[in-house]
Parts: sequence; C-alpha cells; structure tokens
Amino acid sequence: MGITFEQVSYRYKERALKQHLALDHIDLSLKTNQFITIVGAPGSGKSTLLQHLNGLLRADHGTIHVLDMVISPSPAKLPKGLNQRIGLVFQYPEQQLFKETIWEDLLYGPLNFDMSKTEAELAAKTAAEFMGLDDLILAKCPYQLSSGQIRKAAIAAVLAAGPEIIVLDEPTASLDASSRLELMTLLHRQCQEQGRTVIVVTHALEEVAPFTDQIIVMDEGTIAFVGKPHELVNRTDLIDKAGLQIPAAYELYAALQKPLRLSKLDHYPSAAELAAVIKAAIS
Amino acid sequence: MKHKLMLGRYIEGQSLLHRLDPRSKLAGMLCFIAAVFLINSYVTLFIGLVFTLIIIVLTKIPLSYYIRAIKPLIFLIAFITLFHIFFHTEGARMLKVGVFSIYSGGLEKGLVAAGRMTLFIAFASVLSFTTQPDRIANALGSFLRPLKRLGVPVERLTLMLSLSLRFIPTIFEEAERIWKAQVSRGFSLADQPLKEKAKRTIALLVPVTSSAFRRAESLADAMEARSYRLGASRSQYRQMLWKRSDTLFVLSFTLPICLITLFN
Ligand SMILES: Nc1ncnc2c1ncn2[C@@H]1O[C@H](COP(=O)(O)OP(=O)(O)OP(=O)(O)O)[C@@H](O)[C@H]1O
Ligand SMILES: [Mg+2]
Repeated sequence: MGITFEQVSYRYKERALKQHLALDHIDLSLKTNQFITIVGAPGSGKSTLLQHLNGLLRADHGTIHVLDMVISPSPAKLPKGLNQRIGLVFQYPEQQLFKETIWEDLLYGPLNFDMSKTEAELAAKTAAEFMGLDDLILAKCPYQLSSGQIRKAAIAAVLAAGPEIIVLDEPTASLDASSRLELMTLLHRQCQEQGRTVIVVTHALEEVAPFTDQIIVMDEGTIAFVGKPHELVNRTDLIDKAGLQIPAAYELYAALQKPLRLSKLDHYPSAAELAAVIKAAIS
Repeated sequence: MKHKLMLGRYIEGQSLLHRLDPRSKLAGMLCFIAAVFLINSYVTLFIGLVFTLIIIVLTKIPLSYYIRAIKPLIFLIAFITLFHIFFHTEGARMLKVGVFSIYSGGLEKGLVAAGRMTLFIAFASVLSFTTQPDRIANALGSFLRPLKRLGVPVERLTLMLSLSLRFIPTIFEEAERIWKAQVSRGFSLADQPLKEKAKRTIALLVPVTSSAFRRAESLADAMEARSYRLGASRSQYRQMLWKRSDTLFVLSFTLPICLITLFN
C-alpha cells in the first residue's frame, strides 16, 4: 500500500482561457507510514497536488492510487471512505471551519462518518486535547479566535475523524515558534505511534528536517526531486528555486567538517546534536 | 458543483471585445435587447442567432463557455417552450397527444421564445465574460450621471452596483469553498433521498451567508481605512476611452435591428 500518481495532469479552467498546467504529468510513488514533506516555490502546485489526494480536485488525466483506493478522472466515482481515510487541513484554515462553534465543527467529521454520538464526542474530545484546545475555545465561534487558534482547531477537526493519512497544507503558518515545534513533534508521534502517514507542505525546511523521511520538491507543476532531506543539500539550484534555506546547524556542520574532520552526515543535525559533535571533536 | 457557474464571471482575454469601452458594450447590449424583443419568427430568430454567433466568435472565448452559462437555465427555457407549445392554438394542427394538440403556430412561438431566452443569456455572457464587473458598474454610472441633477443618488447607486457585481463571483467561490470543506469531512449529496439533498443544500446557505456578511464588513473597513468617501472626487485607475471601434460596434447593431424589422 502506498500513494502513487501516474501521469496526473490538472489545469484550472474557470478563470482564464489559457491556464498553464497546475500539475504537469506527475509521476510519484510514496510509501505510507512515513513523514513526507512537500516544498516548492509559491504557485508550484503543492496545494493542487494535495487536493487531489482526497478527491476535492479531480485530475484531467492520470490515475492516483491511495492506500487500497483508486481515484480515476471524473466522471468515475470517488472510492468510498476516501474522505474519512484521508484528512486534509486546508492552507487557509478559516475556510475550513463552517459550524457555529469549534466543538460542533470537531463533531461534524466523526458524525458524518457514522460514529455514534458518544464515540464522536470522545473522538472530538481527544483531538481537542491533543491540539491543546480548552473548553473556552471550543465554545467559541471560529471568527472569535486568533489565527493560530483557528489553525489548531482546523487540525483538530481533521484529526477527530481518525484519518489514516493526514495531509496538512502549510500548517505552521500563523503559529508561534514553540507551537510550530510542538505541532511537528505531535504529527511525528502520530506517524510513529499510530502508524499514520503525515504529509506536510512547508516553506521552512528547518522545521521539518528532523522529522522528515521523504522530501518532495515541486517546480512549476512537476516533481523536481524526491529523496531524503539531506540528499537535497547539494541541489542548490532546487533549493534556491524553491526559496528554501538549508538549516543553520547543517551549514555550520558542513563548514566545520574539514577542519574538525567530522564524518559525513546522513541527516540534518539538530542544534543539540551539532553541539555534542563539536564538543567531542574539540576535547 | 461539477458545473461551475459561468454566468457573471469575467474571463481574461485579449480579444477585440475585451478591449472595447464598457459603455459601448452596454449600449450595444441595450440595442441587442431591443432587437431580440422584435424577434417573432424563425427567420428573424435565425438572423439574431447569426449575429450573436459572430459576436461570440469575436470574443475568442470557446462556445463551450457559453453553453455552460446557459446550462443552469435550461429547465426554465424548456418550461417556457412547452408552455407555448401546449397553450397556443394558432396554425395547422401537427400532432395530437391525448388531450393536447400541438399546432404549428404554438411550436414556432415556443421555439422562438426559447431562442430569445438563449440569445439573451448568450449576450449577457458576452458582456460579463469580456468586461470586469467594476467596469460595467462604471459604465452604468456614467450613463446615469445626467440623473444626478434630478437628485438621484447616482454615486451611491453605482457604488452599490459595483460592489454587488464584484461580489457575485466571490459569493459563488465562497459557496464552493465551504462546499469543499464539508465534502472533505464526509459531507455527501450522492446516495441521499431528495428531501435530504434539499435539506443539506439549504444548510450550505447558512455559512455562506454569514461569511458574505463578514466579507462585506471587512470590505467596508478596508474602504474606510483608505479614506473612501461617497461623492469625493476620485481618479479612476482605468480610464474609459471611447474609440472609433466603439462607435462602429454600437452602429453594427443597427444591422440586426433593421434586418429583423424587415423580415417581421
Ligand atoms: N482556484 C484557482 N483558479 C485558477 N488558478 C489557480 C487556482 N488555484 C491555484 N491556481 C494556480 O495554479 C498554480 C498552482 O497553485 P497552488 O495553489 O497549487 O500553488 P502552491 O504551490 O500551493 O503555492 P503556495 O505556496 O503559494 O500555496 C498557480 O499557478 C496558481 O496561480
Ligand atoms: Mg498552497
């Protein structure tokens, strides 16, 4: 089981006559049960790709396999249970909450997926606790929340439905630094402990580097790179084009590698790891 | 939401019609309405159709866009056609179905009525596809300006109009977004009984309306923050410029009007 795109193309049609391809014959094969990161310049097609995973957008051509489900171009029917098994957190989460209160919003998914009322309430409660939403916030209407709180609520609403694959479009935007790290750690735990697949779009490599198993770089509707995050380090062309920044700790490590005769790394080191390595080298 | 609503949308393009002054397009539209009102036979309908097709070709927008604009109204058109066919008893009797008889006059009336509706929609689409909403509003405003002396609040009307024209597509997009949000969390119309379908569609209206109000509120704030005042003199970003092609465009409408009058 995995996620496979076969020659998938998509073009936005409504607005202008001559739209370029937002997805241009995408071929992609990913294993599940891992933490996957997607990066790329604005407009490179990241959000478009994500929306194909749960059938919100239907490819013009090509087939997508997700878990044991097959998504064919419309008018083929969407596979049953697709929305439940693949949860999508939108890039703009305020567009995702539509109920009167956050609590009702958290219940919406579980109730739609045929959970009993008590089961749904338990799921919503668990998700709310997981994301650190207290009762005060749960009783509020989405427009009375700060954008960071809305973000957390939107993620909780998706988690409540218990998806096997969690897809998040720039989930750390509008969060403070410590919440960012916390969120990534939580998502990573979902991946490791619950065996879920996490797919995250981000512009900040630093945030996801320690957690990422596979990184995908998108460029103008195509897949420019798939691999381990540290393998990306020599592709300065891609890094520049995608507007990324190599994590500072790695740059420091690379700079010290020759003088301190450090070994080659197969991952991005955290600052703490770097400190330990340097300490060992000097003493 | 498979068929995205096309009516009222602007489609970017570089065609002759895109470049015309919005006032001439609006004036042309009025002439066209007059011409379409005059249509009452197959021949004149044909003339109107040919003229509309020429204009459509000039927009360089594929016919499929126009067909998509007409689609949502197809039931209304069909209803009007059937109404005429069954309730007009002029001309020769062509067919008898149970208690109903179809007469040639009724058939012609029905088909002509359907044709007229279709032409209207097609032409309204030409206007909206090739003209940004705020430009339509500006053109209307400049037509209404003489009424200002009579105490008509022209500026207020124009602003209202331009805001509502501007908001129609936004509200559709909003509806689409909320629809997406609901669908991605298990909302589905398929496999539901008709009553449930209706209920769920209406349920969609609640968040759409409330978010439209919020948008209106923040728009008002944004305008105020940038010192918008009704009646204050203000320069326009896009100047309206009446060119020779505009005069020609409006004049070209005399052709269908004359032809249709002639063949009536
Ligand atoms: N609703 C839409 N209608 C028309 N074109 C669109 C629409 N949404 C996106 N596009 C276009 O499709 C392309 C891909 O957009 P997409 O939103 O997938 O980019 P992205 O990689 O998510 O960018 P960002 O990092 O800014 O979120 C862009 O060129 C964009 O202009
Ligand atoms: Mg995006």
